[in-house]
Amino acid sequence: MREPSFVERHLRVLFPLPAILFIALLMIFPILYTLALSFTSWNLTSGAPLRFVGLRNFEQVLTEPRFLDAVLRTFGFTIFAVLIEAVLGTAIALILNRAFIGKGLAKLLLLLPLVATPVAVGIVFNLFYDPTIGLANYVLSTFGLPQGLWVSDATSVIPSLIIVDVWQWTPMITLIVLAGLAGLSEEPFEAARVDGATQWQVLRHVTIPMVMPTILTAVILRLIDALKTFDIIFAMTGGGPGYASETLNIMGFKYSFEYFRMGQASVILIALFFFVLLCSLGIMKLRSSAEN
Amino acid sequence: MRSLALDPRWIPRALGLGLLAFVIFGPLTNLLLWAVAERWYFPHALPLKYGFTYWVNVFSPRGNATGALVNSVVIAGLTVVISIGLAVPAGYALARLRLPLRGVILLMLLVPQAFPNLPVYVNIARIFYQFGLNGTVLGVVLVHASHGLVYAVWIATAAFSALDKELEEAARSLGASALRTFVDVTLPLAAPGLLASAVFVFLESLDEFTGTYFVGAPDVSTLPLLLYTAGAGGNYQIASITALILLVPSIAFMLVIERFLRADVLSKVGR
Repeated sequence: MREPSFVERHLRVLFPLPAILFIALLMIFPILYTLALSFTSWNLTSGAPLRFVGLRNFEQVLTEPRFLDAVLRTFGFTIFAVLIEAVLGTAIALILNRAFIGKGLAKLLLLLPLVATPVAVGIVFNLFYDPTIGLANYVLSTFGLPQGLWVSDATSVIPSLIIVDVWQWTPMITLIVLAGLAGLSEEPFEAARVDGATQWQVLRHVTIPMVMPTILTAVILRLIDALKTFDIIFAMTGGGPGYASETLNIMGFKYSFEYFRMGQASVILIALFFFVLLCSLGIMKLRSSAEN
Repeated sequence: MRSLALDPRWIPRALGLGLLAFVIFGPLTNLLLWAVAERWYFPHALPLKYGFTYWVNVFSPRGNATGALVNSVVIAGLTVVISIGLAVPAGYALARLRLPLRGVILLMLLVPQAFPNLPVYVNIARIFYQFGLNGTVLGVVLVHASHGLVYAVWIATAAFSALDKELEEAARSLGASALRTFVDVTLPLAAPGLLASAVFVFLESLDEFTGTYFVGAPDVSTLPLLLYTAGAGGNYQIASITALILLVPSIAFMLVIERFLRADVLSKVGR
């Protein structure tokens, strides 16, 4: 046998190295840079050089009412959206898990919102929600229901955005839960049937607990993305009317590109990162207790 | 033979399916209406005049859509080449080789997912500006690839872990080198999973808005950017037609994902 070449001997370093360097350069470095910026005063419009200001940015941002509103709004949007998606998504997965005619078609239909471009979805719903000629109000008035202002009104803008998020992402939960259901072993179901359990009891005491870790995995993935939602809100409302749909990500955008206060923008986005991390850890804990 | 038509249990299912179709297609109907509406304003609930004038405009050589479409496809293609090129060896290493600092590498792949994209794009835009990469196709490709790479590594790792080790071991015991085994045995076996991840990265890039907006606009226009500008400017017909064009590759992807991404591969993602 010939002597292994240099490449062969160092395969386990050479194989992952390019990908690691790429991610370090284009993702890790900008993240660290953001962390560093949060301790500086840097205003793009003044042209003044970077200045270290310690924790002053944190002090200013964290005590601002607009920031606290954005935090509550971000959580309100995320919790309601993900909760509805988890319940609906699981329910649809349980229905699709049985064999029936049109199942393939139903699964394909369900994938449609998932694969649509978020900006396109934003536009679709802006047209749909249009108070005067949108289809939403047309359908409501046909059934004699009161018409809504949807994203044009401060009180209905967040629920309207939640509907968009639910429309687009419920199918993702369904797909993951379906994969989880396919992997379950038959034995507990047979045992339950032999013991004379009703369909509802099987669902409540066998299926749901067994598929719970999968549901929670799907919830983590959704939660991370929902907290960071940008495209849809940016394309549909830009944070308005007023500040009524300004989540942390949108606020961070405005601080960077409208007010050019980079240091404070960094604080806002670090806060968002912190919340994402906190929520993910919380659900991962739930998940490990659901597995046992 | 079972009689399907007489079974009353089908009624609630048919109703459910109909409701699902309505909820999914309701908003899309509005999009279709706008795509063929030539005149539509308040107080008319439906368009006043239908036609394809806007389609002709969009696809005319002077229209923006053709350029944006070409840009989008070129960018997505290059993104796939870079992402998959880097992800295949990395995914193999994560799945099969005893890696130094494996935990750190996995963390590096996970943390950017949790971190808001915005500051990453803002800082990349700043850094790219110094290298003259802002507003170039290459700049946009690099941003898309940084995003696509993470998914590609995950899927590639899952695809390689799902393979049976025996064939590789057989090749090695017959005297094939590690590299040769990888190229001649492992890679062809993992091809379906890798193809699926390539398609996924391609579509992610095609649909990407935020990064393109910060790094590419206004010099590099892609379909999502065109869609956004048209929508924000009140050109609903152009926006709707662009949205429909973007749906075509996505629908093709639905058919691909059904075939390739099996539950046994999906279940290994992120392990």
